[in-house]
Amino acid sequence: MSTAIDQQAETFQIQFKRVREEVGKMIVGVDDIIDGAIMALLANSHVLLEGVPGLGKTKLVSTLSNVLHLKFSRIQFTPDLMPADICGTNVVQEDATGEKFLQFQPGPIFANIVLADEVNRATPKTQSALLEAMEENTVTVGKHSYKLEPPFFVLGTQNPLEQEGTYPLPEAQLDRFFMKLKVEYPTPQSLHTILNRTTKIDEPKVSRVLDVAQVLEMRKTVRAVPIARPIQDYAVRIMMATHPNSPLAHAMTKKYVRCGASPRAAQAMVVGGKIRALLNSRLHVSCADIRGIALGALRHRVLLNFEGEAERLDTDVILKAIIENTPEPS
Amino acid sequence: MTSTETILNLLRRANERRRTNRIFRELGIALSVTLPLPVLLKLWDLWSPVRGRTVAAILGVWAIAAAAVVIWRLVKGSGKTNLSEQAAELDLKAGLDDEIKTAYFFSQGSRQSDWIDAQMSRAAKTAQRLNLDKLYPRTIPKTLYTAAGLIAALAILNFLPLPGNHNWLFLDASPAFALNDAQLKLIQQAETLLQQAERLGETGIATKLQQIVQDLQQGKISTQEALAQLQQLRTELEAGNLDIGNVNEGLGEVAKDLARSTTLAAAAQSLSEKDLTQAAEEFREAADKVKDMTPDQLAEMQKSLEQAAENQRTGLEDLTNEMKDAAGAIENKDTELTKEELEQIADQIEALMKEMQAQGLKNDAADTLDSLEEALRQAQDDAEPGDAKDLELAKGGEKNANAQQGKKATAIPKGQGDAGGGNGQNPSGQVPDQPAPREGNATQLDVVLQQEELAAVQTEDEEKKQDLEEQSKQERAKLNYRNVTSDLTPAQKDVLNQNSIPWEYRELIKQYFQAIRPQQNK
Repeated sequence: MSTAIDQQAETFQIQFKRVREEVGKMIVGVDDIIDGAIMALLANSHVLLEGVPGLGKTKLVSTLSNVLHLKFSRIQFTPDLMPADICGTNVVQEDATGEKFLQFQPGPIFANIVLADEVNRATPKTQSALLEAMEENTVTVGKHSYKLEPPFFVLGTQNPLEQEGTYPLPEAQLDRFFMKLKVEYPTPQSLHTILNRTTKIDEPKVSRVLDVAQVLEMRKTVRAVPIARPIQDYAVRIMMATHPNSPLAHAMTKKYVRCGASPRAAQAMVVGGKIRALLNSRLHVSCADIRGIALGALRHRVLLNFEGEAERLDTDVILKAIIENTPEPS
Repeated sequence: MTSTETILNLLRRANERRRTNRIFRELGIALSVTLPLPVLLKLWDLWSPVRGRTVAAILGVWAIAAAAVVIWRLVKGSGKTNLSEQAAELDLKAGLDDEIKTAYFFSQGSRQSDWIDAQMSRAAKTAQRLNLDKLYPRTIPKTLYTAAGLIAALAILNFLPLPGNHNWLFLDASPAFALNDAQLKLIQQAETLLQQAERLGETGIATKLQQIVQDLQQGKISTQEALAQLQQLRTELEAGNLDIGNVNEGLGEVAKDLARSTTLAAAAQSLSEKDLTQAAEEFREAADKVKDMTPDQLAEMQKSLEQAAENQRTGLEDLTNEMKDAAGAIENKDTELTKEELEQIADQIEALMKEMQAQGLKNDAADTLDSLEEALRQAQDDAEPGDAKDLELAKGGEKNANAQQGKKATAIPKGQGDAGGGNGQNPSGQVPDQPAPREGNATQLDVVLQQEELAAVQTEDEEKKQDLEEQSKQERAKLNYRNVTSDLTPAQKDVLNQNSIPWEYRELIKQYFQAIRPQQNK
């Protein structure tokens, strides 16, 4: 039996690497972002990308959909975007007899991978439409609910610079994202590679390495990885340390944090830890896995108080302090 | 062996190895913390010898404390770590990313799945690959080397061939009181004299002296107590002292009286020459001739014996009584009784001779004890400034003792062996040319040379003045009054001793005379 399990874990690792390599052909210098996006997909969750325009966020998502042979759609969020523009609407149709009837026209959300570009530019009403889809994997139009086909994976992007006329995502919606990944400027070396690949006649082409079934199988594999209670306890303690009223709260938490991470954060850390374990050819989750995923899983779930905002404190600073000071189980 | 057993076995072995290493480490720490004290104490002992009792006390307390520290550290180090902690440490050491810890956790639970089995199986394989000798090498901690070094240092220090180094490892330590050569010589001298005296009737004095010296060296008594006991011993020696001077004088007078009898002229001659053995023989011969004596001779002898019997002196009572009885026997014309009485006179003379001989020895022993007391007192007083002066003074005491030995009275009765006796002694039994027994502590003449201009010095050259000032700056001068040469004759000293000024009034009288001394103008 252990051989089968080992085989399963090895297959997962190979497939993950193949996806990463294929995406890497197109996207350069953001391996962590690629890994994070794939991990969020395999964790049956969603990811929020934050970065200035032009860093390849949209390209990443489209490439990912091509590599995985999944249906991809892109929604450009604007202030006048309506929920129906996302979810779809009932349209009056005529049949052959001339009788009219309402027929549901699915919106762009009916896809496997959805790029919600500049998600913070839409109104809360429209954002909430996306929220339901993300959480429930269903879309309700009128009296009917329509199930979204798995895998359903939303990549939201937001621009940290232009805050004028934006609607910051509410905490509840932020919490639904598995990870928040910060896309940084590429290094000069990476930039050379990007220029070499994108300024020639032949652009690199990616091939489809996984299908839907394989992605769903990989999701199952992730969930099967066991985690020992002490390791799980480590994740819990890190999460609890973000709560200003918790006895485990870090000093910085008490001073700068208004609201700590939700249990979804712990879920994200554990599931993310499992994926990392598999990627490292392990059948168990380690504390290092938890630490590796903790920053991405927690940074958008920790809300600063007035003092923290006034000091323009980055949540990463607090989280790094928490991770460093949370002792490993003995 | 199942995966669980393999993992648990590894953890137990690692735990045991870790525990052993920890015990060694803790032992090393405990020893390296506690051992410096005896080493430092030994170093101090080399610098300034520590007496055995002090060493025993310090090392005893140290041993208890060291044992407590060692036990505490061993108990601390021997505590077993739980296997979960051991698994965590093993993961950390081997860089296993919590593999063993996870496997151990799963091994303790009942929730089983294929993935858990696979994980444990993989962990078991990893466990088999682990080399405990690398992860927990059997190393001797540096602290143990330090401890070994300290032990070696202690041993080396004990065996260092230095004068005055006592090997504690052989339970040898510095005596409580170190007697110098001069003092030891004095003690031996005193013991010899006392043993000779004991043969003549004294009992236990030498044994007591030996006991005092032994107690002093073992630290059972302080120097002060030793001095007190020596004083007491001397008092015992002086108890019942025979006034040899008085006896000699009396014997002279007896000899004069006996010389009037032709029969006893030879005995008188021997008595006057203090040849008591010969005198006793003469009396015995006279006793043998009693039957053949004429009445005139007997009358003459009776008269001379009666006159001699009138010389009632302390120490001669028995002899003169016998002479009186002999005279009475002659008067009664009892020849047998006369003979018997004359023989008893001879016995009395011999008894007196032995008594005088013993007394001489006792006097010498008392003098030696006196010197010993003085040496000890000087050693006690000069303990702080150093031993050099002590030795010097002790030598001075020895010199005195030797001088006394040399001055064995010229009037020791002839034919009495090498046992010394005194001549011309004062009533307290002291030989006149020796100092009288002191009362209280030894007198020291403390001369503080102060910077003052003396009239005599003022007129002299400046160099003498400079010398005086230099002496004054250097130190306090202490001179023993016995070392001051005296121009007094023994007879004069005798008189002075007989009329000794009470000790406590001497200073007062001295001040009085200083007060009435004519003032000299500068």
